[in-house]
Amino acid sequence: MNEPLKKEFLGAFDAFSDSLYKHAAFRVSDRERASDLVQDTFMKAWDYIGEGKEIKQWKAFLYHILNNLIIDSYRKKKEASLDALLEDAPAYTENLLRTGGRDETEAILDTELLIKEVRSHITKLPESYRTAITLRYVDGFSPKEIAQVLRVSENVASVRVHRGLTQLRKLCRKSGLS
Amino acid sequence: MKNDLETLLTKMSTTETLGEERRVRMRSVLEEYTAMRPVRAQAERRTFSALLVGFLAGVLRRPAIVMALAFIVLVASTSTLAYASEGALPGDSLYAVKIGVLEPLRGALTRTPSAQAQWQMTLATKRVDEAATLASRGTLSSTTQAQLSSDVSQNLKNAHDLFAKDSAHSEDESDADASMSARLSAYAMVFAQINTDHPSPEVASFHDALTAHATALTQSTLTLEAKTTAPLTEGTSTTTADTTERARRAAQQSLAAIKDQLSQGQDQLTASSSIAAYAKLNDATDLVREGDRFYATGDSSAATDAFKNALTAATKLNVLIRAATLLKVDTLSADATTSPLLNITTQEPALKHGTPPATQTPSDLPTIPAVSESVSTKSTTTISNAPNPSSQAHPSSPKKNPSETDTPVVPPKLPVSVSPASIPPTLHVSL
Repeated sequence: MNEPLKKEFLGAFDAFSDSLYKHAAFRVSDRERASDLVQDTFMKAWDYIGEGKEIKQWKAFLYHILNNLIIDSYRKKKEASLDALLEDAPAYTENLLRTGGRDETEAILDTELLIKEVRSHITKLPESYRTAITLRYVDGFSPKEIAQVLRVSENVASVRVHRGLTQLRKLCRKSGLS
Repeated sequence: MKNDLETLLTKMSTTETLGEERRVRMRSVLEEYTAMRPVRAQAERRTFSALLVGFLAGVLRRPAIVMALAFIVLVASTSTLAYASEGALPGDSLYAVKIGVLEPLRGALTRTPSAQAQWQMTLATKRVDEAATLASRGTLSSTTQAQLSSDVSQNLKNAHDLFAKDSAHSEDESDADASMSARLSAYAMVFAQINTDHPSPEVASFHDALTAHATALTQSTLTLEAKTTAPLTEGTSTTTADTTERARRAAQQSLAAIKDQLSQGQDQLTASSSIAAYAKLNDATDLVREGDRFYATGDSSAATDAFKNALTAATKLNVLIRAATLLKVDTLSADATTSPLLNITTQEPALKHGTPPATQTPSDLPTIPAVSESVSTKSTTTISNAPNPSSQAHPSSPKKNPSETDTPVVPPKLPVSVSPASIPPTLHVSL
């Protein structure tokens, strides 16, 4: 009786673990924490199945659990500096220099710096907007999928993305980004 | 900026991956976890009651669904109440609900002045029907009679005022007035019959009121029709094909409804009433045929008149059958030859064509419905030359149809003879 469910469960892990990790890493800016959060997410999903309940939409369900765990983790631990994440990746820059020309590498690094700054502004957004923006642009979710994850209406999801984007744009302008 | 920011945001996730090593490790941990915590054996065998409880718990957590359910319950209970109070009469406990809640609610759903006017006429008919029901039971008190009479007057006045607001639909008003006039005339006959059987000042008074209203509505129909046709030059067809078609359809639908009504109420009709009703139905059907013949010759105005007459006859017949079956007030057989209360012998040709009683109005009275008049002149000529309608009409009609039996069409049971002395003087008024 366990086997079909186990197979389904592991299939969901294979399908969504990477994207869940990306989402978590973006939100908590800590690889280990992100990894732990993803693992906890799948454990909770299995607990849910163990109670005899059925999961119909794995993707939305898993993201929903992960989102709750991330919010919990925010409460437990003050968020680490976002800078630490990119500064912790010297190998990444070295790799860029090895594979591309100098100009190309500089352009990529400029973009990375820009991204770094935008990310720092994202952390200043209210939690609901931050989650919506992340799901929309980092995870590439449609408003309908965001609505399923956050368990709100599609309209509310769209409004959160739109307002989050507007606030982010204001923050970027204030800091001199054009 | 907008596009740049969004593009930048989409690039953010590209640098972070779980990594193969971490992924394999996590997978093995989860496999062990699944082995350690097996799924409960009964998990998949959930009973129906558990499912139902789960469903209800889920439903009740959602306010929108709870509201929707509450609305459905409200509608269902209102419908039950509406059904229960539909037949309520003055004096019944549910009557207040009927006229104070349900009717205003239904009236509020009508939007255009024309529709509201039609609704007012429907209300007037309901009040008249209530009065007829009470009168047939001998329980129409003077207070109730006065109240119902006042309500009918008010409803008809409201209808007139509402139609006045919607001048673009004067044709609707003309049709509605003609139909209402026919209905009230028929009810007046019912009241006359009740008064013959059980004389009562309340019944007589209500009869008078109905007659006055029917007369006023007939006048209104005349005025409106004159208005509609006045702008047209002489010799021009005064009726459009659309109007003719509409009148034809309405007449056919009404006649079909009468056939159903007759077949359903057959058991409750006396033999003579049944014969008389079928004879009237045949007459009305003949009027439609007559209209078709006029229309084929290009006289759409005469055709429309014929169709409208058929409709008027059907409207009247509907009331008379209803009175005979539900109220046990038989005016059908009586109406075939005489108007019982008025003690006026009716003219055979007019009845043969199913024309409304107004055609039987003595010439000294000014209120002669235009519709009936026009048809009686046109169709009398034509039909008098034609074979007897009862011998040719409806070859495929059910056997009950008197035209296919040896039973005489004129019912043997003649109306109760009433001596003029026993009739209140106010009732010596033509319908």
